[in-house]
Amino acid sequence: MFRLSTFNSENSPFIFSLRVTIFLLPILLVGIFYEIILWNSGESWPISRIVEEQSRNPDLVWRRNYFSQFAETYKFLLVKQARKEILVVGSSRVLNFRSIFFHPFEGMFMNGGRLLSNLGDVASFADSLETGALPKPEVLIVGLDPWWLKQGSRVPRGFDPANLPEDAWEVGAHVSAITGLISNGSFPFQLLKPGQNLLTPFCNRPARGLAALFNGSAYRSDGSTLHEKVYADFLENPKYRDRENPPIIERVRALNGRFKPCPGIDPQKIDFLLKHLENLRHLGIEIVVFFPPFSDEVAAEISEIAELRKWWKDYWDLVPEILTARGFQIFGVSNPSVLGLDDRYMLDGFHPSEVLVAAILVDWLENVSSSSILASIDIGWLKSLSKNPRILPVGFGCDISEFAKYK
Amino acid sequence: MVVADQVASHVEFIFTHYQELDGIRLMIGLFLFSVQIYCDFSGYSDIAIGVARLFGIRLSRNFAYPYFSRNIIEFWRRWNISLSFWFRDYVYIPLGGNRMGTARKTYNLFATFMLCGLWHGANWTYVAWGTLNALYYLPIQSKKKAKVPTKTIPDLREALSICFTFFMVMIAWTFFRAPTIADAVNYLGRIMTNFWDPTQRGYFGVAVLTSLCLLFVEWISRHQVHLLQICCHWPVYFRWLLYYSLVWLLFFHGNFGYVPFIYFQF
Repeated sequence: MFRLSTFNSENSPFIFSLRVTIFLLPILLVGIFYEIILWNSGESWPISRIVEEQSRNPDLVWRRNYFSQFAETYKFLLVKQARKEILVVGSSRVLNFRSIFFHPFEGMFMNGGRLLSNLGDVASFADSLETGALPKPEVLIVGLDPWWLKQGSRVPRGFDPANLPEDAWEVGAHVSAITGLISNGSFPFQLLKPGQNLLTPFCNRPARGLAALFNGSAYRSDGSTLHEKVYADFLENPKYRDRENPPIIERVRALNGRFKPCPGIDPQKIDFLLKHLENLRHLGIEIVVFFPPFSDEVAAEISEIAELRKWWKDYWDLVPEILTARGFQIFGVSNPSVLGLDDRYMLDGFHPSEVLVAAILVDWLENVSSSSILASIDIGWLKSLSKNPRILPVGFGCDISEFAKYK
Repeated sequence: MVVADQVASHVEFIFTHYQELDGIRLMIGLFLFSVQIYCDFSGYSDIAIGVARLFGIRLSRNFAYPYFSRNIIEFWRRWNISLSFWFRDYVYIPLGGNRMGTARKTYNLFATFMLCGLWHGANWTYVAWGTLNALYYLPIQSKKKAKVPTKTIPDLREALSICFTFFMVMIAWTFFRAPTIADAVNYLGRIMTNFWDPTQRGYFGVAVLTSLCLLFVEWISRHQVHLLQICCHWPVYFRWLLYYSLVWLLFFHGNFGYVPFIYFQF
């Protein structure tokens, strides 16, 4: 049992408190210094504040570096706040759909990429639209990843709209952000001054969040992603490079992660997907399913691997057939060479650049017969984007002045 | 707490995937769990003692370097002292203690340890853990209080006793950590039947090294009531340097996510 006794210290409480205060003072000063930097840079801003700021200033781009990204929280709040008519949802592989592709309806578009990471998220998203937790779009483009439909695993639990993660107010997140900055030897004194016009490093766009400020890697206000560092990297060395770490091609060869061997597509998962897509269609939403491309290199490798071949083939043959038979519109290409392009149009093994996404969209819109907004998109404008001599295969670069008149 | 939270994710991984791992990794899992539960519980006991002291209340120590015990009796005199002494004073002795013959003494021992297991939770795994600890007691006849060794390097006999006791305690922890008795038995069975698989990689090196460092520091300071007493007579600058180093360790290697104290569930 505990033995209790009265405290009989030679030191008075005052002396003790003074010593503790002196001991803690340097730690507090370092903490305050970095907290000011984190706040002034927008790194520690709550996601809800960022969404509000971006609605006020559409040129503002944002991305955290040391705090958790929580992309699902950001995209959920963005989609909820923006209430747009054309909505793209899916994983990070749809993040390069941009509002400028949908001229003259740029103002009606929102990219909800990274809101969905699996079929469980599809169900949660559908429920959110049905219950009114998210506003209903007119057209919904759903990016479908092949690993969502793999046999051999259960459908994971989707995001919970009532309990979206956020760590802006968590002590642990602040400590790891500060220790992260110190470990990287980062002492950005220039950020101590509040109210500065902070800009991205290459294209000088107004920015918040340290990933946006240090690398120009950020979310635009339409939800799409900006990859300034990739543009700069490509200008220096205009060749394809798989920028994922580890590269996607290595993951495929090692049969790792999403490329673990699998006998094929799971019919129950197809049914699960169809059920939720049909529920959305019953809400009066036009559903379009997008099949995001892989690099030529990755596509060729997967088709050669016996343990993945059937899954790959089913994804590109069987799944589109089933979706089309159920009346859903589909579009997408397996790899850039299908459109006469090459891997320079890929950011890595499975993320298409915005230029490739625009090309895929043109290819589809030229042949689509839609009764919705999609039928009125200015395809000529979309084509002209790709033909602009200043664009890079990896992106439209910094020069967006030619788009300004359409804002 | 820093060490406990560092090894927690490895322990979770090993105990969740024990059916895919070989015996060496499962032994590492047991070692890491032994370190985790000790650091976690001992750490929060120290926090309680420290906070109480700030309010002028002295609480008795709850852990006295238990993993350096040379037999199981000594271990229970050094582990969770407040609880084990409570069970001794309020269960074992009222039941008759050692005074009513060998059979009754054995019964009292098992009753006390099984109750101690049940105190941790209404699960058969805890009863099994308590029973196993009672079984460990049986062969030990002498209850003479062992003297704390003073040599820095123990003699062979002492070293073997410490290692054997630690090994037996580790085996018992399997039942404490596993979700069911079947899992605990399978875990131990797998250690014996599939000890080494050359295709498996990774020995959780950082976690093991951190744990060994901690045990080494504990060994050096095992004659003190508390680890930091070794620096009580150091010049203030060196002491503060040590304290700042500990703060640095806490911030840079601590886990600030939500890792609940293991003993909070009991």
